[in-house]
Amino acid sequence: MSRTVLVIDDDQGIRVILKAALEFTAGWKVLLASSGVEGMATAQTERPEAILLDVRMPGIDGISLFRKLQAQASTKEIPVIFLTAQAREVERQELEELGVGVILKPFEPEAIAIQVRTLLGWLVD
Amino acid sequence: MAVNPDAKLLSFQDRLGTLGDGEPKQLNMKPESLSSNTPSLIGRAVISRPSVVSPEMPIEDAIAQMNACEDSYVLIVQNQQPIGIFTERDLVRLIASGQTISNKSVAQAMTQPVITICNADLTDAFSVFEQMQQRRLRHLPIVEADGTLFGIITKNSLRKALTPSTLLKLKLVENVMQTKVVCAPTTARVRQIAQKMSEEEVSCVVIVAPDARPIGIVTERDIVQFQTLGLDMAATSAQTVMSTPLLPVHPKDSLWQTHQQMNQHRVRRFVVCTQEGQLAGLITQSSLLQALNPAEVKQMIDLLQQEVEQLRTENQTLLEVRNQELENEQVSLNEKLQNEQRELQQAYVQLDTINAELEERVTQRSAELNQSERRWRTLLEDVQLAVVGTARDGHITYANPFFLNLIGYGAEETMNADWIKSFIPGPERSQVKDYFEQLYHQLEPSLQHQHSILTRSGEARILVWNNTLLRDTQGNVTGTMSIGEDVTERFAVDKLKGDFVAMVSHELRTPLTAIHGGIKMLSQGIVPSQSEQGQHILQVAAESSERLVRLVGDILALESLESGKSSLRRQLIHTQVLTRQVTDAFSILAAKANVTIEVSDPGLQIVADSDRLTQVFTNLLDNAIRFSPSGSTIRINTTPDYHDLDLGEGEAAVCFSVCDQGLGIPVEQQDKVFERFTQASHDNGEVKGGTGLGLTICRNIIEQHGGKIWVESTVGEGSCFYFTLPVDREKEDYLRR
Repeated sequence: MSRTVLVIDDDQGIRVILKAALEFTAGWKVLLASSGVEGMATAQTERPEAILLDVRMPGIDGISLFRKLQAQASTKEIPVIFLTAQAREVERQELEELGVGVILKPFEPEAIAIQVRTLLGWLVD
Repeated sequence: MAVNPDAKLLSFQDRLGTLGDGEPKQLNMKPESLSSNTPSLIGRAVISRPSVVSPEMPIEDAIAQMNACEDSYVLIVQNQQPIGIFTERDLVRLIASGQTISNKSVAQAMTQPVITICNADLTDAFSVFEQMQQRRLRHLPIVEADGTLFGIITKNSLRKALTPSTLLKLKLVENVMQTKVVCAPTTARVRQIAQKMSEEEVSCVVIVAPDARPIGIVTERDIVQFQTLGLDMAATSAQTVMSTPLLPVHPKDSLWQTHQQMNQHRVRRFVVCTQEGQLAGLITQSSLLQALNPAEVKQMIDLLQQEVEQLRTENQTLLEVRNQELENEQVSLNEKLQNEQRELQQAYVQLDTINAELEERVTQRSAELNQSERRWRTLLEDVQLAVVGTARDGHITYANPFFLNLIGYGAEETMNADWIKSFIPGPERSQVKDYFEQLYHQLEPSLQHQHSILTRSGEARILVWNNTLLRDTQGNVTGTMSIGEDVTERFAVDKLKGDFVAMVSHELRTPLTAIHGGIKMLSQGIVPSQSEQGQHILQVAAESSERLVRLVGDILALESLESGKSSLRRQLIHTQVLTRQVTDAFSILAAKANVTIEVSDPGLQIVADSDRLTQVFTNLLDNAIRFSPSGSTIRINTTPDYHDLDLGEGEAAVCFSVCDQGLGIPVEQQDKVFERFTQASHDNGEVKGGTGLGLTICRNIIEQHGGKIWVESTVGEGSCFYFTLPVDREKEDYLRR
């Protein structure tokens, strides 16, 4: 069964690598958004099964977008995994309390799909 | 016939006067008994209501009156003047003569004329007594000047009036008693006894037993009483009528004692017996008065005077000796006093010396303390640390100027304010309160404590406190003294550093993720390298790599600029050379973006770091090309004589600008774009490349040159980035073309 996952990150490099890693290792359909606004719109229209959300973005940052997603009936049930380059323990714990989980950058492309499955409790396809 | 005893009276008075004058004052001996010049004394002797009868009164009536009144006399008065006197002795004489007394008037038996004394002459009791002794009178009527009866003095009344207690105490019975005593046996008849009285001219007869011991007495008064009773005196024996038993009086008894007994028993005489009961003599009131005989008194006075003289001499000697002793003692005391005074003086001098030393020490110590206090006060006043004292109840007792300045309150407002309620932010109060509780109960909390302080403006400053417990002399904790370091800036700097590190970490990790992930997927064959995705991945990895290189370069450059490690290398440069170089460097990129670069530069000479300015232009142009739409124009301008309000008189600046026709920057972001890792973004959230440090580096470089950099932008129309460089007109001749 193929999953649909939405990746919201302002960095093009991250988007490209994540899309390639998830498509080639897990066979998932990966939707991309480069900003919080675009991500919100895509989430509402496409209703992905999970969202990988970058924390540090210009404009609407990841946490603000997360609250907006939680406030919308159409999107509040979509599990959110935060993507962050923050190494500090305090920030990671805060994010873990908000979302389903946290994936740190840089990540291992061959393992990213496993991480996501584990966090979301998805069985292997 | 009045008596004029003046001569004797005068001499007697003289003797009394001498006694008075010669009396040692110290002895103060002036017995009242010897002073007869007391009006009350003679007054006491006078019987103011004498027993009087008329001449016609029968003798029997007169006798009855005498008996009734217990008087020894009656005065016969005619026309208030005494014409005669009838006494007990007269009656005894009458009876002794055997004459009948019935049917006779008293005038026929009275003694006349009667010797009287004028009332005016009654000055001295003793002189009166002397006259009575001389005239052998026992009764002396007193008359006024006109001869009217005033009163009478009798030996009895005189004796009673006189209080010669001292003399009487001094004298003994044996001194004055009559040793010649008329005695009669118990068998003698009363008439015989009366005869004896008359013959011997005595007033009494002592009745003796056969062994010559006195056992009774018959007196003239008894005879009078017998007559009154109508006793047969010829037949009645003495034993029947004598007064018995006799009251015991001994020769060694004092006259005073005898006088008192006379008064007590109301008798006029006592039979004096020895201890064995033998007859020794007879003492009458006359005998007592004889003790007061002026001659006797004079003799006594003389003796007393001698004794007084002797005592005075002895006293004088004693006084002189005592005086000498006292004088010697005084001399000794004086010497002692002088010695003590000298010692006291020396002690005072020593005390003064010690006092001076102590004062000097106190002054010195005070000066030291003052200096110490000044030192500490200066320290407290000047130290750039907060010093706050709090009492046990949490109220402020001291705050130094640094602290007051920090919180923005005055000393009056701060003193006695509650430390926790007034200056600790709400969320931290509990923790601060707990800390102080632990401190006061000496539960070994950390002596250092960190918390925020609220200032008057509402700002929270972070201070690290060192706390010391204050104690009283008994060791009880009274409060704390805390020294605090304001670490707010340090915290902010640390926070900034932390934020910067976090930012840098993010900025580095992001391109690394693309590089690492891309290379790994390609090298592990997850994505075929020849596929479209593979090529895309390679391109992304390459771009990320470039970005990473630039980023690392910018980070290092910024660090170098901010740390001051790279100083400016100022040199004279021509602005046109600079702008041409930059324009040429970006020509290819501009062409690729289809953007035109125009330069307006009059050509000025300025002194600046050429490389750094190139870096500034590079960053600005790079941003401008990135944000300019295709077909737009980027303009570079150089303006001389730019008037900056911040420049002083005589100062000038050159202004450069790089303007594009790109998206523009929203107003709220225009200041922030110069901060690290802050890039302008638009509603679509798109960020167009860049490291986020370019403008920060530009600002740093321009500010190091003493200039300013800013942006003016309108969303949708474009942005203009300006920067100025101050110039020295004279030195640089920058207007030379």
